[in-house]
Amino acid sequence: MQKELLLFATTHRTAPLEIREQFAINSDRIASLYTGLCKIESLEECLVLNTCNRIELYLISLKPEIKRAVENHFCKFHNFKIGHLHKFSFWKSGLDVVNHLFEVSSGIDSQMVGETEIIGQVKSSYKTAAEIASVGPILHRVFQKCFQSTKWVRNNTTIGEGQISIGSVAVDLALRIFGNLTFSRILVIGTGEVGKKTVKALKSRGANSISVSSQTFDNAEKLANEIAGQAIAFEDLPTVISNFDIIICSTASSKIIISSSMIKSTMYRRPNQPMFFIDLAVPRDIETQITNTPNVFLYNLDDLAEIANENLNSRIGEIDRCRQILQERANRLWSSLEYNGIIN
Amino acid sequence: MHNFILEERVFIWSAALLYLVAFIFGFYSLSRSKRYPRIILITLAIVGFSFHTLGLYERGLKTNSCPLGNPFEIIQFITWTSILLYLVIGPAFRMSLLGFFSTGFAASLGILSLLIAKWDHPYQTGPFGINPWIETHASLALFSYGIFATLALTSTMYLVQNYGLKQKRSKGMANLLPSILQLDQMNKRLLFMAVIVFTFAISVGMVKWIVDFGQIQNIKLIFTLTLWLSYLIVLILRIFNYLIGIKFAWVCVILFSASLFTLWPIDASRPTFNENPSQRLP
Repeated sequence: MQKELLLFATTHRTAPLEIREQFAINSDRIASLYTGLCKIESLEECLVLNTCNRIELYLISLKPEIKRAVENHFCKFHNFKIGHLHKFSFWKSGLDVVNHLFEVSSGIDSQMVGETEIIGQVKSSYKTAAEIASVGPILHRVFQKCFQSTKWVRNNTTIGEGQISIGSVAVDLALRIFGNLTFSRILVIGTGEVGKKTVKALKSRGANSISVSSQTFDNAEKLANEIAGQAIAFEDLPTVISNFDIIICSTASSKIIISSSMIKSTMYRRPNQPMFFIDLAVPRDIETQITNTPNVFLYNLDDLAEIANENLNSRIGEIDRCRQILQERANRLWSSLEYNGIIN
Repeated sequence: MHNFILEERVFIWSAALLYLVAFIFGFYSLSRSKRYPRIILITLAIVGFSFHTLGLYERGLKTNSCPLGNPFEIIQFITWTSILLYLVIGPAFRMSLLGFFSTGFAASLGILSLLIAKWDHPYQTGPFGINPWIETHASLALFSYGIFATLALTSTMYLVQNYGLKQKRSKGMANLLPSILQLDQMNKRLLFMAVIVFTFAISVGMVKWIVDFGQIQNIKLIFTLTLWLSYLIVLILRIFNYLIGIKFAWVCVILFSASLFTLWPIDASRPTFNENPSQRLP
C-alpha cells in the first residue's frame, strides 16, 4: 500500500498573533500532542515543528481520511473550535510538502526572511521526533535532504547576508525613544534565546545596566552571569519595574505578566520617563492596553518582524533564486521517492 | 540698480526663497532617498539668514529703530530668530531635522507676510525710535516669540516621533528625528529660556508703563500679560510633571499659534502713520 506525505500547518502567514498564541505549545505539552497523534489509525509517521510562528505537522499516512482525525485532535488539544480552524490553517500533500519544508528550513518562509534560527528549530523538532520514534524511513529521508539543501542554499546564495535581526530593530527603536542607551536600564524577563540576543544587541550599543528576572531564579542567575547583569526575583517585579527603561519579555508563560494596571501605577511614579516594552513571547506576556498609557511604547514579535522585513527589499531577488534552487532539489527527492514506490 | 539691490524687501525675499529651497530640497531628499542632506540645508539656511539679517538691518536704518512696528516686521523678526536658534541649537544639540522644520516655518510665514502688502503698513516711529528701553523691551519680547516658535517646532517634532512610535511606523522622517527623550528635554529648556527672556522683556516694558501710564494701550497689555501668564503656568506645570509628553507638546504648539494671533490686536492698538516704512529715510 502506497503512503501519502501530508502537512497540516498554521503559521504567521495564515494566523495572526492572537490566534497563534492560542496554538502555542510549551515543551512540557509537546509529548502529549505526539501521544494523541500516534493513536490516530493509519498514521505511520509524524513530526511536529513547533515555533512561535508556526505549528506544522508532517505526516505519513496510509489513508487520506486521516485529515479529519488530525484536525479533531488538534482542536481538542488546543480547545479550539473546529469550525474556525480552516480560516487559520492549511493542508499540503506530496511534492508541495517537500517544497514547503525546504523553504521553511532555509528561512525563506520565515517571518523575518533569511533568519537562521529556524534551521536549529527544525533540527531540534526532528531530534525530538526521532527520540520518541515517531519518524520512520520517509520522514528521516525528507528531513536529511532538507538539512542538506538548507546548508547548500546558505553557503551558495546571499539569502542570509545583511541579516536584520529582531535585536537590531529593537536597538533602532530604543534609540528613537532614548537617544543614547548608555544610561538606559534594561530588564529581561524570561531566559529565551531571542530575548538574550536582543539584550546582546542593546549591550553592543552601549547599554550596561542589565537585570534578569525569571520564574525560576536559578535560570535568571545563570543568564545574568552570562551577560554580566543582575538577577531579580520574579515576585519583586511589580515593585522594581519602575526602575527600568527597556523591558524585554520572552517567557513561556501562558498568562499575562505585565498588566495595564501595573504599568499605570508604574508611570505614576515616573511620568516623564518613557518606557519601552519588547514582547517577544508567544503567547504574549504584556497586555496590549498598556500602549494607551502616555510615554509607553510596546512592540511585539510581529511588529518587529514587519519593520525588519521593510528593510529587506534588497533580498527579494535572492529569495526567488533560492526558491528555484530548492524546488529543483525537492523535485529530485520526490522523483526518487516515487521511483522507489515508497510514496504516492 | 544699486538702490534696487539694497532694497530691504529684496534681501528678505531672497532669504525667504532660500529657506523655501532648503525646505523643498529637504522634503525631496527625505521622501525619495530617505536621507537628510544636513550640510546642504545648513548652507542654504546660513546664506538665507545672512540676507535676512541684511534686510532687517536695512529696514532698521530706514525706521531708525528696531524694525518691529507692523505685522510684517514682527513676523520677519520671529522667523529670523527661529533660524538663528536653529543655527545655534541644531549643531550644538544634534537636533536632526530642526533645520527642515525651521526653514519650512520661516519660508511659509515669511513669504505670506511678503505677499500681504497691508501687513507692511506705515506706523508711527514714536517712542520706538526715541526710547532705548522700549527698543529693548520690543526686541526681547519678539526674541522670546522666536524661541516660542522654535519650541512649537520641536514640539511638532515630538508629536511626529511619538505618533510614529505609537503607530509602529519606521519609514519616512521618523527615523531621522531626534529621540523622544532628547526632544522632551529640549522642549523643557526652550520653554525655560523663552519664559525668562519674555519675563525680562515684560519687566522692561513695565518700567515704561509705570513711568508713562497712558502711553501703553490696554489691549496690548492684556494680551501680552495673558500670554506671559499662560507660558509661565505651562512652565510650572511642566516642572512639577503635571503637564508632560504629548499634552505638553500640543499645548506648546497651540499656545504659539494663539500668540501669533495676538499680534493683530496689539498691532491694531498702535497709531498708524501715512507713510510706507520701506520708503522712509532715516
